[in-house]
Amino acid sequence: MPMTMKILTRIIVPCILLLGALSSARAQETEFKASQFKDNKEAFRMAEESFKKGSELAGQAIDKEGQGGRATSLWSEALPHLMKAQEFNPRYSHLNYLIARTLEGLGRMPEASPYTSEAFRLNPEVEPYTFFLLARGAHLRLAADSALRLLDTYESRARGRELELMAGRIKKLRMEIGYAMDLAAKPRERVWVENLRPLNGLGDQLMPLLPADAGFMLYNDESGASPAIRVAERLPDGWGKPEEWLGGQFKGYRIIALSQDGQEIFLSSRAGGSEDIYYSELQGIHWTEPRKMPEYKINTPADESQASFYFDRIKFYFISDNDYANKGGKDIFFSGRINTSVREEWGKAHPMGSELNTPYDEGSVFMHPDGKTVYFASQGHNSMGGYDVFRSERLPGRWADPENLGYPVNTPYDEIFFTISPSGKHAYVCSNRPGGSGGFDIYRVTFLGPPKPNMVDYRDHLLSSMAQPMAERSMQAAKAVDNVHLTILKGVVLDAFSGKPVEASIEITDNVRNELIAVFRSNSATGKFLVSLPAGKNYGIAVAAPNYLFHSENFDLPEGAEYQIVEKEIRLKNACIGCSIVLNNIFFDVGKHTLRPESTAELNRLAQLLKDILKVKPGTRVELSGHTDNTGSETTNQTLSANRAKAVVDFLITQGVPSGMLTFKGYGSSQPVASNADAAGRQKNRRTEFKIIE
Amino acid sequence: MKHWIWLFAALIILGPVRGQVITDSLTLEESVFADSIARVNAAAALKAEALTLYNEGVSLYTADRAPEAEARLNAALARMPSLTEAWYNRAIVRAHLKKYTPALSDLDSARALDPSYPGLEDTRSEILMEAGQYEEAIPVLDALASRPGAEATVLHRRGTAHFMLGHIEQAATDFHKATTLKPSWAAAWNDLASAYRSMGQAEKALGFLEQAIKAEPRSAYIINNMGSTLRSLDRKEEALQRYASARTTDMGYEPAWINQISLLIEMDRPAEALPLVEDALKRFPSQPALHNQKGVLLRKAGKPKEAVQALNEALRIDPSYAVAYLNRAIAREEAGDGSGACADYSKARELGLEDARKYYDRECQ
Repeated sequence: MPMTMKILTRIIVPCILLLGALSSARAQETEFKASQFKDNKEAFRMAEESFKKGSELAGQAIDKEGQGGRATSLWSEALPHLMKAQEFNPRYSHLNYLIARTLEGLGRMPEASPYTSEAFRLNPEVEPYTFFLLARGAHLRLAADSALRLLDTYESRARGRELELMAGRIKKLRMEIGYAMDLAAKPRERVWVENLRPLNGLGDQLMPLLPADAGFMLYNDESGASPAIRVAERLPDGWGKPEEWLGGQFKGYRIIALSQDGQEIFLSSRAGGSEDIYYSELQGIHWTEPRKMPEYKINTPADESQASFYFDRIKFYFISDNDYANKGGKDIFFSGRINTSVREEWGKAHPMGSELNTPYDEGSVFMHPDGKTVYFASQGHNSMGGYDVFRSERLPGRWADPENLGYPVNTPYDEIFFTISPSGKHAYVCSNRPGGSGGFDIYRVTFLGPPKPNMVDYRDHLLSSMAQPMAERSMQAAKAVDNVHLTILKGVVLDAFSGKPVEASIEITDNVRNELIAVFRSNSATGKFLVSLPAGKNYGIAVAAPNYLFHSENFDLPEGAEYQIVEKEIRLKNACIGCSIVLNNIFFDVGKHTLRPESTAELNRLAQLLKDILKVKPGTRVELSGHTDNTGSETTNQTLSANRAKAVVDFLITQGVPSGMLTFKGYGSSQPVASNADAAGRQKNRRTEFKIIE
Repeated sequence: MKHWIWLFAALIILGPVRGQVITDSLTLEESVFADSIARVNAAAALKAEALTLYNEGVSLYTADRAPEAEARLNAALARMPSLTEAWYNRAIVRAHLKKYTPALSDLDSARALDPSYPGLEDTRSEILMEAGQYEEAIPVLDALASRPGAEATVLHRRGTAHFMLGHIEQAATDFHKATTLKPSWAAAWNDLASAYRSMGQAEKALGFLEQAIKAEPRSAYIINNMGSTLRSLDRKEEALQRYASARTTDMGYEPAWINQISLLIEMDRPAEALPLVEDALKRFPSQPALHNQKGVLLRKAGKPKEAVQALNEALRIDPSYAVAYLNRAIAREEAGDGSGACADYSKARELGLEDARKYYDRECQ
């Protein structure tokens, strides 16, 4: 076909058809005039009133946005009036246009598209802005060429002030179209995004929240007349039927953050006008009444909407619309507990740096339990359109440049409220992309990681006499997925004698730096606890409760240690005569009795415990004993164990423990607690013990 | 003469008692020795019957009817327990029926009757080898090898026993002696090559395999071993040629098909592997390794659901095929069936696959 014919076929013919269609459609327009509704005057009068009111409010919103303000409440107010008028007269182009514009203003672009199309169908000249809305609609469909042409048309038709005010948005949309083209052309491989149908319904399902072991999911269901917090249990083959959480105890609140152990939550409420953050914690089996976070430190007259606990449960991150960040729009802020012993003394919030916050809105934040990765939703950076999910890693002194999680996790629609499991295999995100149940749905993202190598057989008859073939299998090494170097320590604290749950404090110490990293507590009703330990440290874990001897554990998790879940049952003993504990975080140089610096935290803890015991029971005497494995001569072991016990006693004396309370003894290898036949057993046998003898 | 008189007198006295064996047709001397003669005759008849049964047993075994042969030999030995040949032959029949312990016991019986029975210890060593009792076979073979003029076969067999016990250096020594005694014996060269390959000396193994192929150019398993040795040296193109050659030498030799397809998969050449696996499956539809390979190829072609079907078939044929569980887990995962994948990782882990354990811990915990 000659080139001219191609042009005729591709451009001119569709234009003729479009013009024909438009001219016939134009005739269907029904304006809001009394003459059009002579038979239904009363209904017309009411609809006209709604139209006028909605138009007025929408006009105010357009003006406010034109002045750089946020007009969400005006748009919200306008929409019901406009919808009421639309119900009466759906064939008025300007009304359809206003509804589309209002929905756009409310960030509900997918819902705006049908009204935009209808407005344009009824009257292509209704407003130049319609072309901008049509361009946005085309962009949502990833129809880049069409979107760019419509933008060109808009720019050619819009005039003066409007074009001036829209310059920034036009530029942003052009950028989004470009980013969307690039990202959609190179979709992330081996990533699945699937709608969690059983959990989703009409309206919005928002903010999926899971504890570290992903045993259940909490989310906000805003599909009904009144929003509800729902809980769904994780089953081996999916999710259980969602139910209202706690029978509606937090009615009127949204849940916006859940600590990894599932014992603390942040809620939000608009009870005070703007959206504010509230705090509640699990005490035994009851959640405390929500307490409002401090005004001006955290809550402001603007909206504070979503939050995420940091793994140490000292800091937390949240989204606020206040102007403090001076970045424009909603931004990510952080605050935290000033004093770990006073649970609810919160510090003043600060905005995150400009690596993450942009002049556009940041809509959600999720701190990964590894403590160094943040996932957040932003309309800025290289967003494909609307909110996209980005990932950044903590570098020394700053955050790395955010990386767009790419298509198909992100689309030109909104992707927000991203949360990812500690293993990094599954994530959950809310999106209003097409194909859902309406509004925002919860989607599960599966990151399959690099392809796993298959295995195939090689078979040889190596020996001539072999009657049967002998399998000779060769294996290929697996490539690591994005390993999340994290250990989840979960378990229960019980009374050693009664077996009843104990509410204990759990202190996590960086042994090398002798720094307290975090303090947790076990649940008073169940004794359960759950702690995440990022790899790369030697951890001392001390479990203590009033009137009990503390229990210590040591976890050496070198950099690169694989993801694992460790379960522990910790039985705390009473401080009674004859009771003893093994001090698992006391370390000596090999073959010597020099205390290593990593022992300091445990020794300080021990010193404090001894002083506490003395206050309650003066005259108490304790024995520090050293034990070795059976490697080497018994004489050497005897001397070494005695010297090591003495080193501990000497240290305790320097910490103010009365020397008269302390005695030491070396037992060599005479009192093993495990077999000396293997390395693990020998390690258990090399220990320092503490025992109350009087 | 005196004896005869006394005997005659005794017969008159005992006559009525022995009446039932004395007939008028007997001669006098026959009458006198009737019992002994009856016994001799009975024994002769029994021996004849035993020998008939024994011969039937031999015929039946030759006709590949081993269970009937065993029954005949059982009957023969019930009639004539001193028939050394029957013990020996029954040992062979029982070994054929994989009844190794009774077979070895039969050889013990034969040895008790005739310690120098020819081939007895040789057969014992063979049965011990077949039973996988390599440690028990070695002293028997040592004794055979220490005899003057020990044959290459004995050294070769001892080499095999050492190989199976992981004594590769000793195996190589014995195989080497066997090739020295019988330089035209392809099997011994092949096994010597396998010993050197197992010791990580693949280049040397290649030399021995060339000797084997020179001695027996159309032996599929030797050509196949040549392919695998070349593969271990990363000479993959040459290995592919050898596997193809082994296949064309003997189209019924399964390992050559399996190895050529596996190597094509390893070399990421699915376009060549897929038609080959389809052809192989027409010939060997019950070979699970081929269904497994088909599953792997379909998964690589981005068809995880079809891959799962092929792997289902592999597992239907062999429900303990760990590798197929692992591959099905990977395919299921890509087909979006996370819980099915975890069940398969778990099964492959239970069956001892280390990779499956790692994946299970990472993906399913």
